[in-house]
Amino acid sequence: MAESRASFRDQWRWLTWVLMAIVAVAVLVVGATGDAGPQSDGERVADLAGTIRCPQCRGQSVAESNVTIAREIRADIRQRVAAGESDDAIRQVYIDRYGRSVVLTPDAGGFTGLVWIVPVVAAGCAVAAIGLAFRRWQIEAADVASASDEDRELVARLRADRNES
Amino acid sequence: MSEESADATPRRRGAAIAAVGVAAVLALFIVLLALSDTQQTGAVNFEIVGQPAPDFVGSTLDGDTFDLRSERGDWVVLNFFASWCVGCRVEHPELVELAERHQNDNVQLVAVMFGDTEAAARDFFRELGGDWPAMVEDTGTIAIDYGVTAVPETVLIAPSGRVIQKWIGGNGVTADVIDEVILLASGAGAPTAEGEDGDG
Repeated sequence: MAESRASFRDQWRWLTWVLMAIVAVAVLVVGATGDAGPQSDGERVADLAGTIRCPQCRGQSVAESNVTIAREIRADIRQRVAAGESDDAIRQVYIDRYGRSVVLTPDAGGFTGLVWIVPVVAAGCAVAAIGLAFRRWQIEAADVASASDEDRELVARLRADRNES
Repeated sequence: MSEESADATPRRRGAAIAAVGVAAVLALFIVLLALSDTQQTGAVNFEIVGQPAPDFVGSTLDGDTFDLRSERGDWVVLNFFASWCVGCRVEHPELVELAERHQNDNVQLVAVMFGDTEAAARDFFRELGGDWPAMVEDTGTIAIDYGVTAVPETVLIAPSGRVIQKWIGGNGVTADVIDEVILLASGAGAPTAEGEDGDG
């Protein structure tokens, strides 16, 4: 009876971990790919400006910079959004004019795709390593905590001696 | 060998494997960074060189309309400038000299105002001379089409309509240098690129 209760507890513990993992993955997937609904033109301009590097600045987007070319590109983005051009088409305009490095987000494909993949793989490895370490500590702790028959006999004898005295 | 040390050996091996893994990931990042495009400032941008010159039409300071397509068959020196830009003031006398040299042949200067007002541009030409067309309409779009990052920038367009050379900054642009490139390109037609710091 006690054994089946322990087995049920173990299964329940695993189930909660699996459920937590499913919820975490689902939240990440929805967060990464979920559609937040249609954007206004102003929101699109702000988003696009945030992904285009100011060609004259160091590490600033055209949304952040106030140099002349950043202002001109912001105005140009506004015109193109109003004209109904797609986000990709607008980004391509600046890539054609200023080169690939004008886009602040690296390519998801090809060699640069490793920039996206490596951190995910590293995070996965780290989680697996932590999981393994916890498991090992759990086993070690269980070994330390489990008393042998000799230990039990010794404790019983000491108790009996104390009761007699 | 004691039980404890026997237990510690696979643990040490695991730690070594983990360390090698971390080192491999770090090495991969270093390689990625080393191979990536490190162009952080856009002070130099020559994507346009060798490409067909983007067409544009618009009003000039004189109130006329300028259409780049109508200049096919001529050399066009396209100069992006602003009245507040020191480099533009430095190079302007050279452009005046170039315009005087080519009054009666097929070299046409065109100025494009960049981040400036029409009134300030008018004062600039009145003060420093020059009577070539100066674009004052949709100039931001023209600048982006030519990959301009800062002024002064000067683009040389061949009679075929292809961009032959781009100069960034005001120090390298002289009437002699432009003439030399035109002469060379007339013979060889090979696109080249040069650059210096710009914007003031």
